[in-house]
Amino acid sequence: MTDFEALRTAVIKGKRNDVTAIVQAAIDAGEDVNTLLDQGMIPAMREIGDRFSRNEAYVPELLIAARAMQAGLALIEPLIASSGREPFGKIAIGTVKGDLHDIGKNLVTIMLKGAGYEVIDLGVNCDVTKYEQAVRDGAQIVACSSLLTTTMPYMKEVVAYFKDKGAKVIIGGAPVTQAYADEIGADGYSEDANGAVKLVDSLLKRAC
Amino acid sequence: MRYKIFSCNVFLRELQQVMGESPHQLEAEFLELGEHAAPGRLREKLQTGIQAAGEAGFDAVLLGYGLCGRATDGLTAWKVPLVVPRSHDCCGILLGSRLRFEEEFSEMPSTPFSSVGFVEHGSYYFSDGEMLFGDGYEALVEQYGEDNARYIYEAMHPRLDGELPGVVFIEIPEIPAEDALRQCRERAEREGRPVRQLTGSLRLLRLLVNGDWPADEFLVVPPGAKVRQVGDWREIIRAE
Repeated sequence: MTDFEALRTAVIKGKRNDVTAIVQAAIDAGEDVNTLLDQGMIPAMREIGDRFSRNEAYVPELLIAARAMQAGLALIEPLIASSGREPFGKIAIGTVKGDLHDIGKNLVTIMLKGAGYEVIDLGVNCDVTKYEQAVRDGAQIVACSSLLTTTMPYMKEVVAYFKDKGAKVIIGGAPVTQAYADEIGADGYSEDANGAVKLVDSLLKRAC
Repeated sequence: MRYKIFSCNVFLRELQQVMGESPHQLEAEFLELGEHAAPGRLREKLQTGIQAAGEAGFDAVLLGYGLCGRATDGLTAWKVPLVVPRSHDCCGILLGSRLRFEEEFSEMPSTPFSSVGFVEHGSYYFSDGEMLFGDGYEALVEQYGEDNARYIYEAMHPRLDGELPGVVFIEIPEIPAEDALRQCRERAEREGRPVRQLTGSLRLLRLLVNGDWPADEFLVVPPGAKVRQVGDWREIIRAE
């Protein structure tokens, strides 16, 4: 039986090899992989995210924790897919045009995947065309990220483009605020990765 | 008039140059470059300074800051007007105007830039808002191990199509830049980045210290009002 405390600690401390070993052992033992996510990796990412919000952890810690979780997810995802369990929804995510920063976007991506969503990661420097293609490919929500006050204004164009086109647009990133989201008519805003999952849950009317 | 200036020390040499030409009595206080990486903390420091200056009887408080990662968003003018250049960050101020910044950087605002101040006061370029102070890499290795350190370093240096973007070095004619440019080039070459030079201007800083604040280039916040970010490229900040 998996030691969930050890798994959580390995994620929080960014011990990628330890996460891989624990997850692989659980898979080999035929354990329910969803439990690894729900009781191990996701709470660990929430905790490191909360510590970051309280200025008790810094970007490097977040990065290595996310990398460790990704290592575990990589082992789990194929099993979930082959079990026939459908993802809860499809989300397209990308950093907006002119912006090359992807740390925040990658954290949201990993949390959404961990929560059972299929995520189309469009990378950085995304214009409307890229988001639109993802929506054609079935994305129900477009998630836009930016780190700079100079690139945040592009979100207004994305929101305007998808108005009345069916897909919802959510925004986030260091310069973004709820007030800005309201002003440009975005469907939602979250200040962190944990909140982004809750936001997507609520927009897709999934029980939280 | 008696003005108090709070500025990032990225403008140390530039402000020293223009302050000597100003007809006004100026008192400047410089804060460390890189403080914008923790905008909440920088905002608190600036607000404390603004209030102290308001109590000390200055005629206005001038900022050598733009929006700077929202560090100035939410600042309140205290007893006297607060004057803030309409600029997203130091790049527009170093270039001398918001419009020049738009011409040069609107296509790729993430382009890293540098100046004498960036070389003399810490990191060599402003690139990502997540920058580490100094070189940082060795400290990362010590704290997180080689494998994680390499990953962190890579993640904190954004790329476009797998390439690190080139650096723009902003050179202001009145400020000697030879040494700084050489150091910037050496570092950029080590990282495999090209360097492009752009001529900057003291124009905006000169207007600031001369008390000449056209409304389309400076926000003059009346006492009691707050600075608010707008979320555009033209107005940038407004008073509320």
